[in-house]
Amino acid sequence: MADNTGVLEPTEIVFELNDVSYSYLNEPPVLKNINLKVHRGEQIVILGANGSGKSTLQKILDGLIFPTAGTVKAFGCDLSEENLNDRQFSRDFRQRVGFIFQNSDAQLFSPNVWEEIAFGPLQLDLPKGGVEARVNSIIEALGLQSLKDRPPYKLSGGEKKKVAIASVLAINPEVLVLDEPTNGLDPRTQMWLVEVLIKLHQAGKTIITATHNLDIVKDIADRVIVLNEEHVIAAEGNSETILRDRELLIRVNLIGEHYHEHRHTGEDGHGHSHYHHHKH
Amino acid sequence: MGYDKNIPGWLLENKQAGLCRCGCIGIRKKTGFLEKTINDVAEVLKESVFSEQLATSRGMLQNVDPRFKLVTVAYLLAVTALVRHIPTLVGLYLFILMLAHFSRVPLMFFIKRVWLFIPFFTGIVVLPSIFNFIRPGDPLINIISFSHPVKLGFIRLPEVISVTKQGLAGAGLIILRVGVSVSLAVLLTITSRWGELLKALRVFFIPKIFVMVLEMTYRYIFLLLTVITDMFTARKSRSIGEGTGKESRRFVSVGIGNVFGKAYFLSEEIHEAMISRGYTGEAKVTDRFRIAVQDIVWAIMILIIGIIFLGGDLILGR
Repeated sequence: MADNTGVLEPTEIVFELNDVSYSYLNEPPVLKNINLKVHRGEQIVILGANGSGKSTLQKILDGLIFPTAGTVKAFGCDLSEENLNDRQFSRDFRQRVGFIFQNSDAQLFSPNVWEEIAFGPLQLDLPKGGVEARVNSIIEALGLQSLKDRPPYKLSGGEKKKVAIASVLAINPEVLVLDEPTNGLDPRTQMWLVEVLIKLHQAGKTIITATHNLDIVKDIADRVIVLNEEHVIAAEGNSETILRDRELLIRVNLIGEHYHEHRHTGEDGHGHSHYHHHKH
Repeated sequence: MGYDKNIPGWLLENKQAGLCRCGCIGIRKKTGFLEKTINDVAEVLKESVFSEQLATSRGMLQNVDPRFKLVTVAYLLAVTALVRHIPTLVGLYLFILMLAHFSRVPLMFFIKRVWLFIPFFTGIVVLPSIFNFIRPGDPLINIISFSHPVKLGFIRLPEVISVTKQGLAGAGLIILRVGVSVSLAVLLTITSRWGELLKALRVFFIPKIFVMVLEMTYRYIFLLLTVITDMFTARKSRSIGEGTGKESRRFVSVGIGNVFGKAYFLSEEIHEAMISRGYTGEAKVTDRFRIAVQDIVWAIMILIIGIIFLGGDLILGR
């Protein structure tokens, strides 16, 4: 709840969506009657085929667009355009929720990596020394020292994603929203990303990831929300249950009928799953 | 793979098309607009990489704080505008060449970059002033001799049209002054990274938001150049035979529309990304500039050198 100074207080429910629908101008809706509660410290994956409305849902969660019907509450307060126009509310909300865009080029708009990472802390009016300390420590933590003076056009896809993540982590948000974070990344960078997300979750962050990459779901989700091509929630449950439900995954067009899950177990007893496309 | 039923039969036939056994027939395609555009974009990118390398190398000017560099170059530009004698300007130019040398700028590249264009543009502008009918003076070379003054409309030409000593000296002074000024500007830009130079503009009270927009423009030009290269390369890879002019014009116009559309959607997304990180419309930017002893030494040195040139020019005028 917001107190009389407009500052958001800690709540157990981070987001609460009631009957949320969204349509762009007079187009057919891209989200229909979404009801969703996100709890503090949860890691959620929003699973859905291309065009199912995952990105739109995430933009609504980040207060970038507003539902055409229904209500959204963030930290117990209405996440409305009017509230976000309030300086105190907006600053508090932006500090608490970080959004990593699918298109890293849209997110990297500064002349070099160092300034990109400094952008968020600067908007939050941290003193110059504080900004520098924060930027330098996140650069060190994510191993970006060699990139810090590089302009964005001289970064590879994986490096861009790392910098985008660093630029959002520099704000130290308690909720992290990621849109298709593994798109275009090589397997090694994907693993790096999954490990970062696991660490952040262990540190108590709430993580909401939209993806259609089934290989990473088990590692980064306590709960999976499945959106279908009719733009409604088709199913909700823990990752094991959802990923085992082949019928559901075929129905929402996430896999074809010849896809199969394979589970590999290493010598240390740890296993991981991935999906293959072949006939049996 | 399971998709065979959806693939049309003709796509499953493997005919050996093209690559005639008798080899090349010796008729070469002309370089078309596709290759030209791709090469031009590549050239721009190559230039920017080269400039970036120069700007980050460990030369004399590269080590000066960009704000000091900007102010001192502005001061030297003022000195260039104030001096009135060719020897002083030549001296100033030699000093700039020395700075370029110590800043690891290849001298031939630097000289060519400035002097390939100046004679054309400034030369054309000052050309009439070398003749006696614009600027009377002591004749050096007689061009045309009429037996009596000629009247062309409202222009009255003298009996003899000649190049004058005063005209030539004046034109030389202007060309040299432009050359020195442009050399200073080129030296400043090639020894500084664009981002830093734009930030340094704030010492002249340029608003932060203006600097921020310039920085973003510069950053996204590269992204859009890549989009254009991809578009043209994709078209080239599918070009069989020589296209007609009409087709090419259509491709370019559709391409312009596509790039505009992409830029528009990108700008919306960038704005969202900025808002998401707390941007409220008020530009808050920072720099990592640190004033060092060498910056102060540099500023004092340039101040003294400027005074020496101005003093020398005054002495020459006596």
